Amino acid sequence: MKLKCNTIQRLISDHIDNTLSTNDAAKVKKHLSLCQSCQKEATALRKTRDLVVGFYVAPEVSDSYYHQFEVELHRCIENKGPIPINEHIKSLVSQFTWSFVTQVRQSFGRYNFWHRHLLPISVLLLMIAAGFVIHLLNQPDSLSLREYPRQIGKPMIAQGLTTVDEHSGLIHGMHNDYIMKRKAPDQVTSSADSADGEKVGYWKLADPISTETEGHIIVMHVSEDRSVPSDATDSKLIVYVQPDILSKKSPLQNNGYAAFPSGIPVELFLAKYQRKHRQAPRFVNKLMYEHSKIPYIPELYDLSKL
Amino acid sequence: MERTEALLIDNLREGDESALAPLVEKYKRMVHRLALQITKNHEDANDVMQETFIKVYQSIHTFRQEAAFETWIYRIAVNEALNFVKRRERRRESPLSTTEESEYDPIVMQRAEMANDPQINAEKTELRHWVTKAVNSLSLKHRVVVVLHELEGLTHAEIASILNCSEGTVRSRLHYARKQLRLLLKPYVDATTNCE
Repeated sequence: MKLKCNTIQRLISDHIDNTLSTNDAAKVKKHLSLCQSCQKEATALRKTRDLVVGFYVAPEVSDSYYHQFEVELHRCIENKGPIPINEHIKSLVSQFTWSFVTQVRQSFGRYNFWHRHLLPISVLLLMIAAGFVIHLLNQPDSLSLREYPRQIGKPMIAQGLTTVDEHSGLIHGMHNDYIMKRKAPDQVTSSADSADGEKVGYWKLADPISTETEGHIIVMHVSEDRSVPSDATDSKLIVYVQPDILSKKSPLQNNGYAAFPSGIPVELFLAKYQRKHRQAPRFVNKLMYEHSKIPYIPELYDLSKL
Repeated sequence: MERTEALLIDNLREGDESALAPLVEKYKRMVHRLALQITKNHEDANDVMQETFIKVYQSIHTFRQEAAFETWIYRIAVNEALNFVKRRERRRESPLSTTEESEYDPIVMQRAEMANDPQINAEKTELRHWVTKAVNSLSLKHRVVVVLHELEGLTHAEIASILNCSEGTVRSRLHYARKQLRLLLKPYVDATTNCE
């Protein structure tokens, strides 16, 4: 009877709130009808609850207080403004971390085994994961937001779109640069195909380049005769676009021309590029460069005038 | 035309600051009451109320529509109030602390009430005083559960969600708090029990 009373008394609070399941409620009701002590306890707790609900004085203040508060709040909000997005991300990360740590701590509190073994393992795994993320973020080719600002100005090339012929020393690639590759073929026109006879010697995009190309240099080709782009091997100029240039307003960009040379030391990206794409000979040989002749492109060219 | 709460929330999310005022109007009393019941201090309650609404304004984009807005505000207010109480306790523990804080005393309100209404039953006033005092004397975690359940009328699940704990913990704290209150209010509980 004693044990059962203890069990029942734990349910009394829920019983007076009517939050017990039908089964438990029936058990408690049956027990209360038989046990005077528990019945007394239940009555006392119910009375206590009723006293609190009925006689607790909820604090209240005057309307002028609230008016003053609203004025202060308005002023405070004007000063603070909305949370910047980076602050918001920080707070979310910290909330998640604390919630995770709390849950882990609670789990360990419950189980002695976890307390002994899983905490160090979890910490180790977290450290490994953190190290991996830091390693990824520090990759030189990473185009993550964190690394991007440092890479502006460095020559880069749209990966997988071009390659270098080691024998001829020429860069080979596709006319279809990053943007073009993402568009349907009928959206890409060249001056050779176009009815627009005024603009020759370069390839033209059906739509202007957008900032989708961030992080890539668009490598283009202009044939030597500057009249018709072709697959012939006499082409000698490499033209490429730098991400930071894309963000600027440019007449060429506005006209929809992908070709956009800039003052970038070509040697740098060639060295890097050769290392990366030596084993990728499957691309169409349409784009080439003789870096001994043009080691540096010193200024912006308006290709329509070349 | 009066905007619905959902529309106000959407507007606030889009940066329309004017949408905050009706929400403040609707919830200010609830937040203040809650803050004062938890902090037992007028100054802290005022700060809690202010911080709560600033947080609502700044974090409205994190509010998920599937949850009740009222519960979301409760959560912010309770957490702010708990932080204030913890901070205050740390201040008190500090040997350099010399600040005197004006603790919320329900007896002041009783006297004001009696002055306004001379016919009020003195016995009832005394009972209110002791009940309020008893609730305020509970430990913080038990007081919060009692305030949210008995006075604000929230369910166990809602309280568990606000306090970020299990429903079982809420039930257990509530049961313990009631037993404590029963001891503190024993003469009144016994009197009313015997009357039946």
